[in-house]
Amino acid sequence: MPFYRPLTTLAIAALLAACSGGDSPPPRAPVPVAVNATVTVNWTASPDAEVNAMGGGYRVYYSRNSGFGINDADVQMVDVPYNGMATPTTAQLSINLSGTWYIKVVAYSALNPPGGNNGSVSAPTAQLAVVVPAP
Amino acid sequence: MPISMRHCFLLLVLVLAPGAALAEVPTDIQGRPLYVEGEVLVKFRDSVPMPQQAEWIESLGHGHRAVKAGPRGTAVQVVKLDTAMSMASAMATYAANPDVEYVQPNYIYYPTAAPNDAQYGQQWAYRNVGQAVNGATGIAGMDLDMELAWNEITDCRGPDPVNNPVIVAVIDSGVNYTHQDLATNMWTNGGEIAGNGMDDDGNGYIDDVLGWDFIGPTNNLANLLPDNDPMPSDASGHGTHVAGTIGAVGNNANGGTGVCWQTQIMALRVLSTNGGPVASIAEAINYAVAKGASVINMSLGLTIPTGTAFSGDNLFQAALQNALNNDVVVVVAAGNDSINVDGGQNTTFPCAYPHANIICVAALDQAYAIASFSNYGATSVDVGAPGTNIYSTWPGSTTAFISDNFSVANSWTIVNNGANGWTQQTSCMLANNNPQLTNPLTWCTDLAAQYEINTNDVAYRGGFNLGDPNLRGVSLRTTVWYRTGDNADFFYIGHDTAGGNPFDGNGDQPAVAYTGISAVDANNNIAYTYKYLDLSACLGSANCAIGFRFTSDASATVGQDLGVGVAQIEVFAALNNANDNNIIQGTSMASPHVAGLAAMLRAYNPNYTYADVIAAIRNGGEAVPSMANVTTSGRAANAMGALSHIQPPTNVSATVSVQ
Repeated sequence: MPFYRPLTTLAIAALLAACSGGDSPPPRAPVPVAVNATVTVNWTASPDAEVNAMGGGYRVYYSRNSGFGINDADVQMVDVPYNGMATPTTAQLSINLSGTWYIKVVAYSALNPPGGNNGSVSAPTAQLAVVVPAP
Repeated sequence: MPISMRHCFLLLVLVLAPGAALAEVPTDIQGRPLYVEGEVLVKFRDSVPMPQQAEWIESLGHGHRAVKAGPRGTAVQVVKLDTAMSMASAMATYAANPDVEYVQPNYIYYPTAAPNDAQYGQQWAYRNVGQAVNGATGIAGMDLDMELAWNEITDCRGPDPVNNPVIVAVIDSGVNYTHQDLATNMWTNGGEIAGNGMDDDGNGYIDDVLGWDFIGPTNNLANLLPDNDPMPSDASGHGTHVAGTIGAVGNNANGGTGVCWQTQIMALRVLSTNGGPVASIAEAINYAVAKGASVINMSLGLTIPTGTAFSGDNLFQAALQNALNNDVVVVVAAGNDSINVDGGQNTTFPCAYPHANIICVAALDQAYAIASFSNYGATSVDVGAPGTNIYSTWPGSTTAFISDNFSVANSWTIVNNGANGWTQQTSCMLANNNPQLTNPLTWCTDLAAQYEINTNDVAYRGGFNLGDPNLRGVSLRTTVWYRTGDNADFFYIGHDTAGGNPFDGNGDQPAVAYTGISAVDANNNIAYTYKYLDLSACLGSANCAIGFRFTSDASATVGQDLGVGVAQIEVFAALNNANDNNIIQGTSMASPHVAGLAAMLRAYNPNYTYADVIAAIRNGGEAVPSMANVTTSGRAANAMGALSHIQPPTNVSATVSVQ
């Protein structure tokens, strides 16, 4: 793989399409291709003591659908629990398709566990969009 | 690459069985985990030797430790499961081994946190079972869910209770700091040596061991002891009641309890029975900030009527800004005017000040309707909290220890300069034939009575004994009805430490003066009101005199009913080492529930900023219809909700690497 250009090419194509008047067909969405990518997500530690204690942690949800709900069927999730010393504030997502991925993070605690009756963990963060380029 | 392989595995699991990896621990009736996730308890038959038990557990790749399960060395293995094995499959695997007697989850039991305080049952705010309090009942379950929160935390001093406790400043009428249900929860200034006459900690206040009394007689406000003294005792009861809601000692079998069973209350006195000036209040806020308070409760307010000019009170706002700059949460009462306090008209401050560290509290009744007296405001008031029929600590006797209704003829000394002045009447016709002290004489019989012009009349009585060394604050309550012809005519209430005339320049103490009309009833008649006077100057005197004076100028207003009648005087006292409680109501009583909760949140989450505390209280509250559209949150404060609330993570970022 000496070069990878699709992202740049597509961006230029989109730009041309946008500038060329009304006759051109709209740009086609890039076709996702298989990749072996890792997205590293970082965030600031919660001030909530229980997030940083046994039973606490974060969940990083990710999806190819903008505006996804964390309970949607095709959403993937990485759990980042308290590890006995601390609760990490980073996660690595293994991504197998190129394109734009959307990420939301929630925090939870033993008092407010996923699926518990006291509410439903924290509200998710606003979604973060990440472009995973094709190889 | 073990990390990426584990992720691949996780993804595979998600794809194959998306529900399995997200299976959650079942919860108890209160939503708490039913058992320890990833652990099972395995009891092998007693015939199986320990090494063989260990070998078999380890063959599955599980960790374990043995705990004593009974006599003769029988043990149960606490097995830590491999993360790949679900609870269900582990249970099945172990149960299938004929050497295993039983296998079970590691269940979690929770303490039941109802305290043993004798009068706890009256404190509906913590647990409302529909009980009658002060004759009123409400709806079961409409409460702060305090017992759930107390399962997690009862001590609001935080992780370093001795060296760095969470401190709650009560800026109020003072606190009876020797009250038996408060004494051990009072803050003391470790940097100051009591009574040495020196400012040991260099903060500008000498001997401020217990806090500070920021008001004095120069305000013409009732004061407890002479100016700016270091003794923030409570002469009215308000501040002591507030303090008890925040932190009356819990689970000590005495009285009730506070939101916090243990806490550190800093008593700062700014309110007399006639209110308190902003100079004192602002100074108290700055004192609290400087001495490390991280929560301030101010159950006080000023409601500006429509059309009345108001400068915005820069001094108050500067003190609030100082609190904000130092990360201090300021909990304030919405006020008791039954009005909308959002800006523009009838605005109540400090509730309506814009500072982000303020949380303003409306009062809820026992059914979680808004209390009839409570102010509200969709942009100013943040949450509701219990505020009716609140049982809490009281500084002294809740009944007057001195009372005089003028029924003993000629027991008051009259010094009139005219013929128709003060008169002690044992039966006053216009006062339902009850005895009364009046000026003029005809106040009891003539609906167009007129006091004399250019008059200066005094009535007083000495011999009131305030010599009890346990007295810490004494205040006089008078039941009066009056009207003056103009505001150059005055009705005074005074006292004298030596038993003589309080208005003769000898032993006189500062008097309070009134003019205008006492009150008007629904039929537009002159009505009774209470007027107060702090008698603290008489502390230690067995011969305190209480007196009234009436003065008028040369103008007369003919045809109106002008004069004054006094129906009763009562003296209330704050007592050292008191152990009384009282049931009162107001947004003043709602605010300290939230202040206690704020302290609890700060103790539980030492990294919380003021914004985190307020977010947890607002967002973790219980949505109730009565707070919808009249508060910023639409919610009633809820201790368990606030405690379990989690803010979304912040500053999320991501980087991509492609292999």
